[in-house]
Amino acid sequence: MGETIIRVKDLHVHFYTNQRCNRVLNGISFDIRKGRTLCVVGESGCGKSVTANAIMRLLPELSRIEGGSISYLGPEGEVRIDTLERNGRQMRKLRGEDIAIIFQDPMTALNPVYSIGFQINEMLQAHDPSLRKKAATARSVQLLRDMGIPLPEQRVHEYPHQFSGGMRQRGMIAMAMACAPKVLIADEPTTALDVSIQAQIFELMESLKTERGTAILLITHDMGVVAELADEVAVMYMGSIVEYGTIEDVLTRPAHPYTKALLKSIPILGRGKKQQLDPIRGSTPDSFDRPKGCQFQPRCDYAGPECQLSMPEETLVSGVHRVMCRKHREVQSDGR
Amino acid sequence: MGAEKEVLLRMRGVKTYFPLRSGVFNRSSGNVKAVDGVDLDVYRGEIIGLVGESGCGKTTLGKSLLQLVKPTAGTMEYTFKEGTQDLMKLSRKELDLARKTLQIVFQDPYSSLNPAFTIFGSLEEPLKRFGVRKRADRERIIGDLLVSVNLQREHMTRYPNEFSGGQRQRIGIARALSVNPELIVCDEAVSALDVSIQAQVLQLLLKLKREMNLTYIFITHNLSVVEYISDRIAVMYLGRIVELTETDRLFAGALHPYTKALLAAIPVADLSRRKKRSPLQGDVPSPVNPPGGCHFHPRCPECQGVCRTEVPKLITRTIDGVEHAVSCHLVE
Repeated sequence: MGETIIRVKDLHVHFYTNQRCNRVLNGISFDIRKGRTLCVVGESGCGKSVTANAIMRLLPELSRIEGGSISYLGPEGEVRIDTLERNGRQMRKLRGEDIAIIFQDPMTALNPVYSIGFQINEMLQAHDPSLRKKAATARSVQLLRDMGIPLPEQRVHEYPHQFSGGMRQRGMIAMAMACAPKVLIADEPTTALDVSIQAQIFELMESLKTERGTAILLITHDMGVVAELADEVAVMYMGSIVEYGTIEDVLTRPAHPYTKALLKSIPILGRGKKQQLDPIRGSTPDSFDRPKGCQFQPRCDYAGPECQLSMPEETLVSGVHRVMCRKHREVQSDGR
Repeated sequence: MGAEKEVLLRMRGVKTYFPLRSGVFNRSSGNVKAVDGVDLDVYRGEIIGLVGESGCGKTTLGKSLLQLVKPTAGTMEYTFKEGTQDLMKLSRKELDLARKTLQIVFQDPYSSLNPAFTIFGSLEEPLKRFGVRKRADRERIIGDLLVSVNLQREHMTRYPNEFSGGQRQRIGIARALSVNPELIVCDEAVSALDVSIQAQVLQLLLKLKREMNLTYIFITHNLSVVEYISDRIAVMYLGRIVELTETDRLFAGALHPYTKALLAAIPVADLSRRKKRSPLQGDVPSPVNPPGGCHFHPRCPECQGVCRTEVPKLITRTIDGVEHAVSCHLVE
């Protein structure tokens, strides 16, 4: 197992809007390791993008990291990301050089009035002011070539609108990989793309992981994507990691009712019409009007009166597999 | 189904082109061939899935069917109770009446409901149009509809912003059902929903189909969803149907190289099936200037000389008692 590069410990993030406080992240912990892919999976509003943006310190002004820590364990020792100034010199140096992010929609993430090459050069030169324009462009061409863009010498001078969706995402990844970061955070990188293009992007990400040892944090809502790419999985619900474990732990021996229900509610390709779908009843609660006790309790088939008392403690099931549920033994053993 | 299959809708050579205009004089400079010659029969009481990647023309085909965009050429014969008529030749008035039997559920539950209308306001429009004169009657009908899509009668006085995405989509379905249609086009009806909600809506659609004897044309890019819900599946690529057969057959023995590649590209939430990927190279070409011959040939791993020059026909064969239509030169 690779060494830890980013360690998130008991992270709390609150948003303050309209005199109300939304506890978006309620104490989440995980490690991102070299050459491994950690998938964060959950439905919309569960806090997965906030997690990614908290690591990059890209959260909106109205938010605050209320507790816990985010540490970057680089070659120069530990850097506490959560204590750095949001847009200070140190944070700006880390961003891009050591940790890079790609977003869901490459059209809005790229600037339409500058060529792709200009935007990659900007990144290269910001982190290495001595780099001349010519040399930077040569590096950009090489990066585009590495990401599998045909005719990179020509493409480097083109603008985002001249690229197709999949190519734009490759351009984004090229930009993210420009300074050879140790960690790549991918926030739903293929949600806006077609499946055949998605498969191309995944292959690219796999090769970054195996060939360069890049640590990847992949955020997704698609269990299929998790099954394809993940080494470790964190399942999030209403701001908590309700289950964490290796891919085998979570997909074959889920210990949290939410994970189990999620896996049973999606149709799986190749199982035909006979498969039984069990939708999760109700809908995700309003974050300002949270249920008492365990957040999943109103939708849970296993819930008992004790579940309404408090959020359950995190328990270790086996190895690295941990779960936030009082009834995890029952969930794992009842064979449903 | 067997022998008693009744053709509800027969499409022949349907083409929908969007003209491109350029220059100072707005001269026509070509066409976007969104739908480029589609032959399709829809049987009464079936769910037919229409799948393909973005830009393959599946939504345009759905909209052409309801005449929301005017098809350029072809025929669409629909078997009404009063007899068979070509949807494309209907007058405005006739078309209005035809829409009583043909309805559509849109992808985005946020933009398909008017935010200034209450749910009652949105849902009563079609009823008013089709002659339910008394408000009390409309209220009763809408109340029943809301109950049938697992909402509550009291919800009709609320505004769309008070509902979640899944609830709005169910309201959209209720609206489509309000005029007792026979055929509903579901255009990416579950794509915008969270996975836990998706299953609820899928089961609702199946329940309604059983109860009201509906026919669905289910348009989606999600093959797992379409496998779960459809009886037959048509795979589209750049405006043409490349493969059409029964669902089980498509997943067990797809013949067209595009279908095979599509099936292989889909991530499956099943660890035992984690596989080596061999993704398709390149992008979907532009429908303005599609490649000659077989549209798929530049990306096809099995491309041969004939594929570059000749357009393959969609040929229906009966293999092991199952009708299987595929348009590929290499399928014997």
